[in-house]
Amino acid sequence: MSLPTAPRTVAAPLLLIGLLAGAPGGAEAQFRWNVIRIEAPGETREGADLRRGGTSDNPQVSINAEECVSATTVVTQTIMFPTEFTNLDVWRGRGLDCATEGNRNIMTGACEHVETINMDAQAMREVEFPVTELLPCDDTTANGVTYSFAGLATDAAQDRGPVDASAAFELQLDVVGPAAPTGVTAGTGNTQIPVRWDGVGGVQSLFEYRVYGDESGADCEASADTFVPGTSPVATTNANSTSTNVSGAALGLGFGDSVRVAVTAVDRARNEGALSEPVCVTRVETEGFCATHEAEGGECDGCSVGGTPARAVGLSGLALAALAGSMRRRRYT
Amino acid sequence: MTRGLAFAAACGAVALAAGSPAAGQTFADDNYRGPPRAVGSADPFVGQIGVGLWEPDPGTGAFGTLFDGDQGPLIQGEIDYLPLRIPYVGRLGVGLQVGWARYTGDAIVSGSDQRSDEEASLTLFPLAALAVLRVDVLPRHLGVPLVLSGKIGADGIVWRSEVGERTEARNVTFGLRWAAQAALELDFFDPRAARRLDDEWGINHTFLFFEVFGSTANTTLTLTTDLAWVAGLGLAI
Repeated sequence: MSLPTAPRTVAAPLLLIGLLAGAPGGAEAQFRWNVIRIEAPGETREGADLRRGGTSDNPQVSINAEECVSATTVVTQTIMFPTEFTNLDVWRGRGLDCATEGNRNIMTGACEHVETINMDAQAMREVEFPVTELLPCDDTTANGVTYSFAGLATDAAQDRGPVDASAAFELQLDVVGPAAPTGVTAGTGNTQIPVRWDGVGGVQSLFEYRVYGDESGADCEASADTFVPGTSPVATTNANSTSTNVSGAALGLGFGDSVRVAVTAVDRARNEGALSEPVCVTRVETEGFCATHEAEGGECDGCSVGGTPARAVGLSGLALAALAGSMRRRRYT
Repeated sequence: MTRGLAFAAACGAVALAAGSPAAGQTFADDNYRGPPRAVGSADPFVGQIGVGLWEPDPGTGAFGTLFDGDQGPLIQGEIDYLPLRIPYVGRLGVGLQVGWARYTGDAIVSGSDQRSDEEASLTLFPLAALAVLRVDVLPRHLGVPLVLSGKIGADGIVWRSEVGERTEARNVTFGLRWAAQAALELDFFDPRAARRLDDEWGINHTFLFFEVFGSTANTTLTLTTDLAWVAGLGLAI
């Protein structure tokens, strides 16, 4: 895929004139180039929130399906640039070091030119890129691919020769959500109706599970394609959990009523996968120990006195520690 | 003769000056900790923590119906203050027990005997103020590391019955608690370590205990207990 190559100057409001990079002229001049912000409608990601793609063991800066679709989503970087050069020449490769001359060879190189930016003799500045300029958002076969972006300090445009200074960052394209959970079951209850499912593979790449109620009004025997999920989930769990409880009242159920629920998985890049097969939950009126005890002729006289289990052992432990501390180094008698 | 008497006197003087170290130790031993601790030394505070099984009897079949043999477990701690020394018997004082147990099962669908998938629970938080007699004559005078204790006093059990997120009822029920304990002192396993624990922390004895108890608590909810048990670790300071 070829991208625009004309030199570009970033609009003034976005410029940051900062300290000189201090890079001397000549060979091996160094500068840094990082993703510092991803802006999308309704959300701006910065800092630790940038690296929410990949897996929990290997987090990566990723772009999800929603960010790819939005035309206003941008990637913002801070650049420390050797001011003896004129342009920042941007190249992209799939896991390649595009600063290497051979990877930019017009015949055999696998790197693609993205664009050339006139740096206006500034060492430090922010540069915005529409994400669609950086990543092939329409290419689902590229899902999961980590792209390396090399910025070359040069006086040319689309420079395919050797360069003295370069910097790089990576972006992962993650536009496909996880598979739908399977093995979903649900039960009966009142305020805590259990819903369980089999975990989607690769828990390290998951962020959470969501449970949705059906708003179509269809009965439990309706086909799955009639399921209309609510705008918000009725319950969410972390990626390590494969069960949760839903409230009958939160689902809008009266006693004896039923509704379907379905579960989705969300990956770390916040792509939400497909809905599971819907299952039926039924709200019933339930009784606990006291009601059962009274039904059998017992007495269960309740009022408002209570305590917490943590205090029970904690009190003993604290008292023991206090006594032991006060007796430390007791004189031998 | 004079020379022999002088030699014997010198030996005796050396023997007296050496004191009476513990068996197997000499005055020059780096681990020597002084003469044995006097019998009946003060250890008025006793603390313990343990785990046990407890299935109270509410007087109906509801407990078995709902919790199907669930016996907790019970987690229980106790602090005793035993200021009175009864010679050749042990120590007498008061104690405070606190505990926690929780029983769970599937809630019953109203108007039927069917079970739902929602959880029903009964949480108990027993508090007991007890008179405690700790008979330590066996380890102190006979070298047998076994301490027996008897306890009796007031029992207050805070209870809470819940179904899902809903609290059905909660209150406190009162009665009488009794307990009998057998404790194995651990000092005899490693007397040097026990002595160091005493010197540095003031802990006179550590012990493993097994305790059986019962309760007649029944003022707001019958939670009587004929016999339950708890076992764990304790220390005397």
